[in-house]
Amino acid sequence: MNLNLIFFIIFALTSFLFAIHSFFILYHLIRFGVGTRPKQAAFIFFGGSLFLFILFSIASYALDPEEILKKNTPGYKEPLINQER
Amino acid sequence: MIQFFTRIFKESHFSFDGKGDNEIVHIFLYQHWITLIAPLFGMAAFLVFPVIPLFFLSGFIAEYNLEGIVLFLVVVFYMFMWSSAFFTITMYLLDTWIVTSNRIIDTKQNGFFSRTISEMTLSRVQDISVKTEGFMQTIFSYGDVEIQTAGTVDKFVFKRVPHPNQVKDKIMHLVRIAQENEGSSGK
Repeated sequence: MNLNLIFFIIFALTSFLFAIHSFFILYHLIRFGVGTRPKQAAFIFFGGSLFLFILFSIASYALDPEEILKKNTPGYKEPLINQER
Repeated sequence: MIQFFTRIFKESHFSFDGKGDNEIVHIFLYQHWITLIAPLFGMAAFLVFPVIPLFFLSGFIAEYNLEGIVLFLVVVFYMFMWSSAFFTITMYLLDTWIVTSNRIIDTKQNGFFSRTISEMTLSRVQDISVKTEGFMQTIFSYGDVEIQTAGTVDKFVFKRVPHPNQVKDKIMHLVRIAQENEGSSGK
C-alpha cells in the first residue's frame, strides 16, 4: 500500500473527527446553557482548536513519507503511480 | 456577531434556561475545583508523553529524517488531548446545582448532548443532611448535601460541593422563608 495514501487516510480521518469536535464546541458556545462559564471555556477551546488545526495542516503539508522511505531504504523503488512517464 | 461574543462575557454568571423574571438566584454551585484537578493532572502527565521519546530519540529521528512524521504524530496526539480536555471541563461546568428564591434545580450533564434536569419546590423540602467523608473532603472542605422532600423516596444530592455546611444553612434559611410565604399566601 502506498505510504502517502496511509498518511492521507490518517489526515482525512483526523480532520473529520476534529470537525465533529469543533461542532460540539460551537454547539456549547451557542446554546443557552447554565451560566456563562461553559461558553467562555468553549470560546477558549475553539481558539485552541483553530490553532491546532492550522498546525496540523502545516505538519501534513510538510510531510512526505515517500521521500523519507526513499532516503532510508537502500534499493527502494518508487511506486509506479508516482513515477513520471 | 461581535455583540454575540461580547454577550458571552457580559451575561450574568447565574443565567440559566427557564429562569423566571422575578426569580433570584441565591446559590449557584459547581463541584469543588479539587474534583477537576485529578483528571487534569492525568492529562498534564500525558502532555509530557510525546516529549520523552523526542528527548531520548532525537539522534535517531535526525539520522533517519523522521522530523516530519514525528511532528505530524505529535500534533495529532495533542489534538486528541485537546478534545478530551474540552470534554472534561465542559462536563464539570455543566454539572450545576442552583437554588433560587422558589426552587432547586439539579442539572446533570451525561455527555455532550445528554443531560438530566431535576427540579423541586423549596417549600417541599423537609430535611437536609451533609456528608463529608475522608481526608480530602475534610481538608478542602467539600462534601455532599442531601435534600429530602415530602412524599418522595429519592433524595436530591449536591455531590462534592464546596462548604456543604454553609450551603445547608443557607438552603434551610431559604426553605423557611419559602414556607412562610406559602403559609401567608394560603391564609
